[in-house]
Amino acid sequence: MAKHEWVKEGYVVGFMTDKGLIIDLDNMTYKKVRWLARTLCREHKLEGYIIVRSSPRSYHVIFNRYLSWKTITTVLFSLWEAVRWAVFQLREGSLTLRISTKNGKNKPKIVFKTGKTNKLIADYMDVYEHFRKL
Amino acid sequence: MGWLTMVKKIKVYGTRRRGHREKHYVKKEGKNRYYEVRRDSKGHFLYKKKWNPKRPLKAETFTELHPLIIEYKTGKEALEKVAEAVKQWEWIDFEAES
Repeated sequence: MAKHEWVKEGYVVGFMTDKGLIIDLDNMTYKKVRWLARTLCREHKLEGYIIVRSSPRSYHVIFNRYLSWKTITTVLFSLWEAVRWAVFQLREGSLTLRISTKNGKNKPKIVFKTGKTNKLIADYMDVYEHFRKL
Repeated sequence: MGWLTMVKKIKVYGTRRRGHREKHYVKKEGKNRYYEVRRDSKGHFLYKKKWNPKRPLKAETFTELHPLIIEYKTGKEALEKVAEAVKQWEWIDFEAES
């Protein structure tokens, strides 16, 4: 299991939401991430998703549909792969994914996009594009 | 509130310290009266209190670990607000075991 990494250099900017589903999947192959995203998208009718690679074997998934907090927690805790991350995020009352560099690691890169991108994905892309040069 | 008009949030996190840009000095008033004066980075007055030479003057710095939460409506606004908020703090680098 990947260890938590403290911010050791400067600051990190994170995209924050409590209106939709975003997941941080660490220590996982791209194939498995894509299978998980596709399964969740189909089961919960999440309209579309993007997969972002934050570091080798670490991926972020952002789903398009806006959801209630109750649904978000239900979906997150149905996945054992995301439970550890979910517990820490839910303590803060919202979900956060990094969009800037961290401890010398590169910015996350979008590797796959499918379905509708007009709701939560549009919000994510808005800040992602603007913080590209930061 | 509709989905389109809702306030979105961005988080800026790391170990930060404020006070490094503040002016903190001792001012003499009258013959034997000394005051400790504190002003922010823009030179605005914060407070003034009596100062005694027995108590050394210490800069009002403190470390903050909680993240900064910035509200925005558009990406451009978020970028501007983050750039402004980040300048207010000194971001500390340190070595830590993860």
